[in-house]
Amino acid sequence: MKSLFVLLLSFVTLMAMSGDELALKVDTVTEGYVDSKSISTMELFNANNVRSERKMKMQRLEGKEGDRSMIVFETPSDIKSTALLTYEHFDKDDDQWIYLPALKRVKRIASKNKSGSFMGSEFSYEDLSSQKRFKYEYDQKVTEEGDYYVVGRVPKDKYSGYSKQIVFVDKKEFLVHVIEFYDRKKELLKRADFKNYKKIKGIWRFGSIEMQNLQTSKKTIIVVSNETLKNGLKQKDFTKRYLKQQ
Amino acid sequence: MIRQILYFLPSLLFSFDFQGYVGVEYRAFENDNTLKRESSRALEAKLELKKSESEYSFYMNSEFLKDKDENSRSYARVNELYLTKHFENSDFSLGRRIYFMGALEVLNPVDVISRQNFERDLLDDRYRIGTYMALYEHYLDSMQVSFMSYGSERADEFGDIYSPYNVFSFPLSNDIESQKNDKRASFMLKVQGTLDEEYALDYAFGLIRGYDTQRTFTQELKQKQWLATTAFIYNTLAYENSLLKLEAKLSDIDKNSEAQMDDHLYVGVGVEHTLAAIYKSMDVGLLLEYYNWITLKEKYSTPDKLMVLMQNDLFVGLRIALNNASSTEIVGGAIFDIDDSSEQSYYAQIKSRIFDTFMVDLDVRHLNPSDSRQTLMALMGEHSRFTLNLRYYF
Repeated sequence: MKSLFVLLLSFVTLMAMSGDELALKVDTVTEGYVDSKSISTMELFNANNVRSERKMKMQRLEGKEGDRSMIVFETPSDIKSTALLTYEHFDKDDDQWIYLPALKRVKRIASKNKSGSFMGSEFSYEDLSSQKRFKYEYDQKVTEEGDYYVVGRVPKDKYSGYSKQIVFVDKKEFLVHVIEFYDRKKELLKRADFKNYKKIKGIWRFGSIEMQNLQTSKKTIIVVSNETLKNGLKQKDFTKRYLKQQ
Repeated sequence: MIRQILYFLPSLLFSFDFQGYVGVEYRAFENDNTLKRESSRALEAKLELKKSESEYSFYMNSEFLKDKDENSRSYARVNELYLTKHFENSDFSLGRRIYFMGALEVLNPVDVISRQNFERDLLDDRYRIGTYMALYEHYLDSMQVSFMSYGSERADEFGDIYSPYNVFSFPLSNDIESQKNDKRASFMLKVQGTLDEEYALDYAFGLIRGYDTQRTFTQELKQKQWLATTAFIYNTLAYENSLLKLEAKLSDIDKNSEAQMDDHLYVGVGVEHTLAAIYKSMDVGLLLEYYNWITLKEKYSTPDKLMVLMQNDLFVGLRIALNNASSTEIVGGAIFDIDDSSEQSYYAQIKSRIFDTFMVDLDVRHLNPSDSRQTLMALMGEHSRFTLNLRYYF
């Protein structure tokens, strides 16, 4: 009986998942999209629930050393055709340029600090960048809450706006459903809910993210529509040449 | 035939992507010059049409300004109209377009292809006039080579002598006097790219042969343009949360008996430091820029004749982005003349979006010119002005 208990304990210990293993599983089910194109609508709600909307075309290219992305704004009309090009780098600062059509000017943006708000929304540039495991130090202890594994992680980037994040991953498909963000003062700042997951060409993609600022009661919802993967986009489609042609 | 054209015209027009605005502008102007009007009101509109296909793209930008108080400032023009043929690794464009060069924020010494629209505002270089050009751009991995041939332009135009938009108190001739045939083409060769090592550097350098936007304004009420060979450079280096910028052009003017323009070096350096999320979602940008126009050899071309606003001047500025749903931005700054501490200029601007489709833009400036030197600001005289733009975007 005693030996059976020891065997069972050893089995449970072996089966307990570490934070790194969980992060690897999460990346595995969401990696391999190669490239994506979509139309995104961003709904901004202030504390009084007054709504404003932004629409943008987004395209992204998966890369081993960091993703490349291009966002072109459709609305509000005063910033129509304004485009943002980002080269993420896991090992150094990102490169980021913005095209200002009214001035015919491509301007570099200092992108060291990614905690700034994206277009007045509750999303920061950091929230919209790749969430790959290399960017975080994961707690090795994974707990369970109902249908979710729960793990803490700390951004490796010292310029991150967050001191810590708590990630809720569903046990069945290993998809991220909730992230709680703690600010630099270690107080709970925001909560992101990832919803409407669907498989496109065999890859899980979320359909919307609801970001609630728990300190200001403001909220932003991004709804992704018409998303297509593996479109044959190349690195040269993510250059300043195409930034100006949007 | 006409019926067929009329039948297809609407569907053709709707196949274009379009955007633009209609708006009103009000300016109050206060100075000691009794000649100038105290205020000005104008209607403005802009319509952009574009169509992009994999092999071709088309772009048109037409502008309209109707000043209620002065006809000479009013215009309606197709400011840009060009067609681009896209190849695998290159683009060829033909037509009239605005071409921007530069890295700095307040003024761009190397931005000499497309002229500023002085009818809109002498102190606001956001408004530009399209240049007739043929442009070939070839793209390599992290580099781009551009070759341009462009045509010389008409004279700069201003409001009438009563206009607060015109610094002069005498009418200028609408003719331009050129050193040689003003129909001759000018050329530009430019190399630009990004070096992405420990710190990222966006670089550009090149040569221009022919006329550029630099002109002299003589007491005989004429404008003159000069032939020159110009080398230019503009760079932006990203360092931590700062951008370090350098712009310079070195112009060698063709000499002949008519030449009253000097060889010159125009250089600008600047730093832009961003403090992100300094309070809630508010970002603050700190700007420091220095400009110097250095005349080489002769001394024909004094700054007032050249319409060069910043000759040996320092700009200190602040940009506050509230990052709210209205994209509210507040910009403030001051220009100090290094040679003459009595010459200073201050400005503040606030922009915000209303109901997702309107933009309101308030701009307040005060110019305090040199009391002892003949500068462009001295020509404008001490004045304060307040400008309100309200635009509906579609």
